[in-house]
Amino acid sequence: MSEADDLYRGALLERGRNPTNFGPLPHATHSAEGYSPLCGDRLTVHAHVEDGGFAELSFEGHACIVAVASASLMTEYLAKRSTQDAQATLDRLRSMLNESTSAPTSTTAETSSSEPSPSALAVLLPVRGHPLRRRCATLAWEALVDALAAPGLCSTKRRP
Amino acid sequence: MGSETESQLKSVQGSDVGSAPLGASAAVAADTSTFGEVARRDFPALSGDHVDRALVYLDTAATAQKPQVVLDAITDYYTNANANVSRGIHTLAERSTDAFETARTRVADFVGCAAADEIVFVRGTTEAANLVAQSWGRTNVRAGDRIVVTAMEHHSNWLPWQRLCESTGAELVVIATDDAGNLDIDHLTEALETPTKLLAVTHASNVLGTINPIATICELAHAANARVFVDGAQSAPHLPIDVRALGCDFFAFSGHKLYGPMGIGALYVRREILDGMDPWQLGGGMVLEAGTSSNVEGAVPATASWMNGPARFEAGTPNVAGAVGLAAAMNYLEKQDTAARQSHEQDLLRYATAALEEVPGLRILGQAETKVALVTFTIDGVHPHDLATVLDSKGVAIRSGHHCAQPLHDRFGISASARVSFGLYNTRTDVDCLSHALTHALSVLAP
Repeated sequence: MSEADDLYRGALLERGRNPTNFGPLPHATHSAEGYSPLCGDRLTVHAHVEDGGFAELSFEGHACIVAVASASLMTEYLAKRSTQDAQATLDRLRSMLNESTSAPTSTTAETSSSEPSPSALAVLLPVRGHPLRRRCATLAWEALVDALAAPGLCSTKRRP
Repeated sequence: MGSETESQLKSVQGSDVGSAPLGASAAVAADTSTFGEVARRDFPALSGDHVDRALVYLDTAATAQKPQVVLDAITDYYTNANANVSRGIHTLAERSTDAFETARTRVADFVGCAAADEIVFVRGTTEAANLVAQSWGRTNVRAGDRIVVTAMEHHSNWLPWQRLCESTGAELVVIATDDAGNLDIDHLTEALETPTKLLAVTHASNVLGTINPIATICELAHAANARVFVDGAQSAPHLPIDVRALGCDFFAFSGHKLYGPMGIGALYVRREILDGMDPWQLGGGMVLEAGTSSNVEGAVPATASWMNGPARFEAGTPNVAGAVGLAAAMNYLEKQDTAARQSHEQDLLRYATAALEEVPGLRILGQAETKVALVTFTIDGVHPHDLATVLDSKGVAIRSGHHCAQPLHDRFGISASARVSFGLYNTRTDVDCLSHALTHALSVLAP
């Protein structure tokens, strides 16, 4: 059946239980809500953008461990990076999650890909074995991309 | 007349349901699992050499597994009778039409209606609600009218009425539920004091499990001149259905939750209402005469007239194999001892409720006195989606999410929940497996 024990172990579980950057962001320039109708996950991501880069990010809401862990990872990974990296990293996250899982799942080794995934994303590798959970892992990233697309403070809902 | 059904339900559900809290008697109630063990053998997805590990399937409210006799009936239809219905006159067409209409009679008998021509085949409950909203609704609902729904409706018995109200300027009124998950009958009575065109209500809630007193509700609604649409998706698989005793005007259910195939369901419409309804989809099989009066090149056919009876609402080639499979499922259920089946399902409900109440931090959503065999719950600090994934790793299949009932989840202030639901093939052992898997899940997930 599934390898849930892979999913709920180690770094992913730890981050999902104790996420960093969880809470409001007083000086946010961009905010958007991500909502997954499949499981009822609802996260709001906040970003403070300065000179085309992320000065600071945070998120809040109720969601499963996978969505929370990924959101937390995002707020750390994208801080001090260009806003363009949001979409680019989301694309690489998606392709990483869509890679075949027929090979033995390893949480450390990078599998072959034209553009390797940032090693920081490797913590999400176990999600590959759970196709219905991939959406949880991309929820916060999609909300952030939405927030960037609409200038200023905004709140948009992702469609499934 | 209506109260007969209700008293029948009460007696079927056992005398201990009325006064004692659910689950209190589980320790002393008779274990009916033999019924489940025997039934399970009829379901190839749950038993047999090809099943490499035991599946604890607790998601029957989403869709039931299918007995071999249903699979065989579908194969037999395609092998020996496949042809389009009510069109050709060759032997296979006769055989196919006969199979389709025999299935319609079977369904009519199953829901206790007067005649087969009160049964319209549809894809499922969702399509039935949309059919009524678009056909009956467009003709009968005007700006300023009211449609009443309840807070415990599935989206499929909510959104069609919401859109009908938006498009006609009618008002949508929502009847509240109490904290235990009972429909607020006082609120309903009060709401019906204002003229109302239609009441759309579920027979049994897919989240709370609550069995609503439909006969009483229909009496109230009819006294106020309102029609009643009953969503029977969760009741038809568990309770004897008698649409005449219930007194409803429309009753819809899905075959796939009733151990039949997906993509087939039925809508009962009281005949005098059916005769006044316009078609909602147009095409082959539902038309009497199409545009013969002005069939000049470039001209739009001026006239068309429609078939009478259910055919008017069955445009296009119907799902004949589905109807045959549904009839086979009903035959299968009829061969079971209905009282034994129901007491078995109620035993599972009590046993599971008692087991879940032992879990720290677990809260059950829906504590009505009469419930179908399902339990929805949340666990403090544990997201239902994570829970479902960990339970799945132990071979236990449950549902997580909002179960297509977001308004109800809003009412209880939660975004998602977990649900276990039972079919005739489940056993107490399945519940024990759930308990063990829950213990494991909490050791992994609990904060």
